[in-house]
Amino acid sequence: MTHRCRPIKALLASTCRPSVRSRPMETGRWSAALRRNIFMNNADWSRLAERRVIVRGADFTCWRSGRDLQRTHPKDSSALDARMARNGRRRLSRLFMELLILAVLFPGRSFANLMLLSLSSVGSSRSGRSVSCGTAPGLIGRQKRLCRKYSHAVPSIMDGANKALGECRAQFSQERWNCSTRGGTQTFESFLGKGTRETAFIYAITSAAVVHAITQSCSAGNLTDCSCGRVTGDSDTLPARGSDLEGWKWGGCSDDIVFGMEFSKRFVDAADSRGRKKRSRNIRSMMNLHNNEVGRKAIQQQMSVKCRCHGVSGSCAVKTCWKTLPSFKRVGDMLKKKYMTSVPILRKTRRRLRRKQKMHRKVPIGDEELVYLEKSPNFCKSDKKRGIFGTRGRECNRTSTGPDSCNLLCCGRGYNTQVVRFVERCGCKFVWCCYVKCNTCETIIDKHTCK
Amino acid sequence: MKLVCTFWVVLFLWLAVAPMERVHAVIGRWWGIASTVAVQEHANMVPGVPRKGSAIMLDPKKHPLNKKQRRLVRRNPGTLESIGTGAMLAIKECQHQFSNRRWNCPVDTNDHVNSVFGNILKRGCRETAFIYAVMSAAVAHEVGRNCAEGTIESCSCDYRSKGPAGEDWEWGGCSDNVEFGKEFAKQFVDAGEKTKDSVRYLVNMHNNEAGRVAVAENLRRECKCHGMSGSCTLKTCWMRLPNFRDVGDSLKEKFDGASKVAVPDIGNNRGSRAKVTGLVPKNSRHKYPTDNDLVYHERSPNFCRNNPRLGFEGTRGRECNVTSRGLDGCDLLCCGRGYATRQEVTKERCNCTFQWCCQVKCEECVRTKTIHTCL
Repeated sequence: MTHRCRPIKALLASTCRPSVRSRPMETGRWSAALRRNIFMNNADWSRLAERRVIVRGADFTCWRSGRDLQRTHPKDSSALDARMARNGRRRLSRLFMELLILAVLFPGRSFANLMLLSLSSVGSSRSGRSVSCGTAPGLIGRQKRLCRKYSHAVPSIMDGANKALGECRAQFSQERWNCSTRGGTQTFESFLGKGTRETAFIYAITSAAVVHAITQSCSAGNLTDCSCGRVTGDSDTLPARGSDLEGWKWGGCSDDIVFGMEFSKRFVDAADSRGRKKRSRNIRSMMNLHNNEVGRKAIQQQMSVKCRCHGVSGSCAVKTCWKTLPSFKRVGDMLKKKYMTSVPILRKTRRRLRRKQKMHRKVPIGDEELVYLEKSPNFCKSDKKRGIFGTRGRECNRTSTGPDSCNLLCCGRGYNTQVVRFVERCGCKFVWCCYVKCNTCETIIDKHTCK
Repeated sequence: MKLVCTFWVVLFLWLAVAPMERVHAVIGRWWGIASTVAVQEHANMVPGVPRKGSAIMLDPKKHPLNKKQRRLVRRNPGTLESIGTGAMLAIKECQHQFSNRRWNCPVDTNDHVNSVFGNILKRGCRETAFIYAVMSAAVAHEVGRNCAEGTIESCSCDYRSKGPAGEDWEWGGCSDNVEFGKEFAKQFVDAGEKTKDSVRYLVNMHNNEAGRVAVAENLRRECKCHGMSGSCTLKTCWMRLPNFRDVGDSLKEKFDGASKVAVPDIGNNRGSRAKVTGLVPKNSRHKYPTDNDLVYHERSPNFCRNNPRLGFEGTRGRECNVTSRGLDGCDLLCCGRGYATRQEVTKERCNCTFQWCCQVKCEECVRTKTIHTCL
């Protein structure tokens, strides 16, 4: 069996070994569940056909060519079992040792999220610089392929990633965790490693942002695969034409959310839906997929109808209406509310997510609830390893009683006071003709920052 | 030879340690009055109520007051009671304000050497600043109030504001004598500090002053109507000291915003040493502390674990609030160690009804309360 490797760092290309059976685990950090699947009885080789491989920070993709795959695909698991048995105990023990070493070296998998994309290239979509699909951080193999296929959608994806980050920062500007990404991609990735409520929010808002950005691009005509949506009576609960009494009809350019939803599903979910079968997915992937869906649903729920009057001024003889996307701030508000009421889930799955709370375990988890696995830390102290920066130096409000109050934000450490002088133009007057005369006003305010 | 050598070593050690001992023993020793008051309150069985007319007997062996302080008390008969009640008031206020924090103002009223609050006073952290301020404020408050009440012989009501003041009101009645209170507290409290050549001295003086200012700041006007019932044709007003809770609240706020300070150049500038204004913020970009700001010069310990040097037991076993995100929440109070949950069954009287005549009949309700304590 052969492996083809496309190295990004040529230096490390050799670590991708030609034989998968002799030293198979050298090629990447695979999840424990997958490892078991391969080396125990039911190996699903097709799932291994493509995998993102990370060796000490280097990034390259290895995949088995289709021909080889066909040849070596065991028709039934017994053939593999027999071959494995022939290798003898010695090989197995060596394998076990290798697994152990790998487990120590690479304790977890990386967590890809599109927000990483916005970190690496903030504003690049605006400046028109194209993003290389191959090297963009936060993208895994399937996403890179999609990225190449829909290359014209890349600016929209970038836009979405930026939008998600901006909205996240706006929503959490007053909390102890303020969606800070100071430490760069690696720190952010380690923050995503924990399945906390904050991670749930990040996944939901990125997925929603992709829908939003793609749909907006569709309506603006920037994408070839979609355009304005045609609203018909069949596909919607709303009538094709407004009743004659109300005197309105569909018109203008409705935002077509269908393509955006589908694209987001394929693109964003790709990072976590590596296993075809639901059973083989681990709980963390299931959590991410669920939260992605919650984000998308948040947009879908808030689609609204806007109308405009035509005819003699004020008469509104003819009214045209179209469907429109909610503003992204409204989506952010909604997701923040969901974040506040998010649901802890059990680590043990029975093919579906279950609530941690014993009383409500039977109640199914709907698409309107964000889910999380781990309790959030308090975010008070800086912990760079976990991607937490603490609240030292954050500005706080002395008089407020909310989360931005000095008392809560500074975790009882108290605050420092700085005197800040603002000089601004004020009392501007227009003087004939033609200039504007202004005074300069000076305001002195106390700025409080956490100790 | 050996004997001589040992003698010199012992002498050297004694000389090195003795002044330090003296310094530490001197800190705020008058606070020990609080314990005397506590004992007497217990004997009278009326806790919290000032005992008017009953003289405080100070144990001469413990002599919590120094020479200057004793002279002051002698010259102003009645002030000793005020100081005693003030000290108690301050301790209670401190414990109230810090009940939700890791350091919850533990006191040992029998500890005379370390003046009630223990070894925290040997540090110059924010908590120490609060203690100094609240103690000084309490003395000013109590003396000012007792002047107006007439229990101190050398002062009386503050009659300085007189006559008509507003459209429909005039000064009258008996105002609390905050000026006397402040001045007395300044003389009395500041006399407790002896080591005048350290940052700590300046810091303590500043905090003492901040406490007194907090009392004067919260002074408010109280009025009474005269004339036909409800008509309020004439209103007389006087200045009254606030509840001590208000002073405590205001000092707690100052505690949160306390500034870390340093003395610019302690070696050469003798002038600045004498004045409290010699303190500058440690970080030059921060605001200069004003008279009513609290200042400190050392970092606070985190108060999580048992700290024998501070005499603080840590937060183990403290009750915490699961739902709170503040410092009283289990997460922060227990310093991430986790908490234990237990159910406590309490019997309470409930559904009380009045029955003619004259008794109140109640039912007994059994309530289960969930209590979380830090591990």
